[in-house]
Amino acid sequence: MVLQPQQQEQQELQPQKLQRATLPQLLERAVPYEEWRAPFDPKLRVLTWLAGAALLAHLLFLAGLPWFLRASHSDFFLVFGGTLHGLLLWIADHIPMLLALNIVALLVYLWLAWRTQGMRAGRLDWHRLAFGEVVAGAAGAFPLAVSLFFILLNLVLWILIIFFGICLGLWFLGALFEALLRG
Amino acid sequence: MLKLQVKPRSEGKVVPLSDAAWLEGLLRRAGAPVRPDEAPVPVVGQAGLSAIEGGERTAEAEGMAPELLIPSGLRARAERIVALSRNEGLPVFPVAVAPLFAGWRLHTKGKHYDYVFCNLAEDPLFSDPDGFPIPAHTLQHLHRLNRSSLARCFDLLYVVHEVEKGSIKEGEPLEAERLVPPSPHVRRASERLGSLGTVLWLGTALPLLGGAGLGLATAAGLAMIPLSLGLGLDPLLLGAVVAPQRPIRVGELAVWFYLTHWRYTAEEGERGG
Repeated sequence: MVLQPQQQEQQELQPQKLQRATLPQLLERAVPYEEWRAPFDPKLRVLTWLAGAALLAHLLFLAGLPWFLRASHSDFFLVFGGTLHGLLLWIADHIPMLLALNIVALLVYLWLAWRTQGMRAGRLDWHRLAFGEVVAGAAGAFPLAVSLFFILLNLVLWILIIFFGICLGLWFLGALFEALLRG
Repeated sequence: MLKLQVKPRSEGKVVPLSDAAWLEGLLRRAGAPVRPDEAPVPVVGQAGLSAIEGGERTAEAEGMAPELLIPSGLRARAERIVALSRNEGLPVFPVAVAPLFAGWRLHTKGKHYDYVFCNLAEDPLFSDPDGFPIPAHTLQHLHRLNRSSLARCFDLLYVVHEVEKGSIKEGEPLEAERLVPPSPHVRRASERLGSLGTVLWLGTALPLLGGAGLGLATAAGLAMIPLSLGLGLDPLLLGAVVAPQRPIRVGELAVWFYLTHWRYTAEEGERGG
């Protein structure tokens, strides 16, 4: 809140007018200084931004859940395919609730970002709300992280299999050529 | 009711007290000044009217005719407030006689700080979306003041903000951030929440990060950066009263009363005044 110099000049030009505020009005607007505005902790600020991104990613994840469910049945998954499928099924069973929570969290997130001017500073309540968003973001990111972990694990296994397959093939070819040359 | 209107002389002649002498006497009867060593209210009043600036220099002492700018009605009203404050046991006392003004005025003659005198209704904190910050213990005191018979005595309220020297200049916009330092309590809470959030997020990413994530999370959870605290800034709340039947307008002579003061520092539990 800012008092502009022009306002001051206007006040000077209108000497008769005096705005009045009473003690009850002050008490009505007063807040404990202990809960007043302070800048967000850099860690909390970064995590809140991350939480926003995670909530958005979670929304896309929910939107693409049918496809993920089908994919979890594929032969790509050498291990933990059943676990992933079970997790995705559980999410699918709770999709209306999860979707509602996600949308509410995103709306609150937008309100928080607007009210704190991009997580710059706010009252204690806003810091708590930001932490709530961090929790929501982490909760949203968890199934994504687990799914990603299973995918990465299987990808690594496939890479290893392909690598060893190639090595085995090369060794076999080497042995074959060696036998042919000797023979 | 205090009897400060007239002072009998040895010749039997009744001479009214000068304004400065009257104010000084009223102040003495009301109780001790807030912080005499720091002169918390650098009064912007007219010459010879300030209890702080001109307390010793009375017209009688100089052999001159006493200055009589304060109407008798205003004197009576101020004395009534002092009597009420004594009855209520509240530290409310006059600090100055000065005309009312709109907006804010900057006083730069303080030794360590500058002072912004601001009409409460026009104080940027009064219309701040996050509310007007006042320490909890001072709020309790203000609630008590509000419940007392003194609550409706004051025509206008002013806040005196103590600010760093040179941080505010006349003609520049008055910003709330320059008047109040960030709450150390909220900063500490934010740091704790940030550290806790880091642990939570590293825990979430644990499937991906494995043991390294846990190590980092523990380290982040334990890392508590000590808070650096700025200098305390002490605002004052003043109440102004004008003479009965007089309009509350700019330039109207008023007696200004100390109502309370507080401190924006780390010692939030400490009583301000």
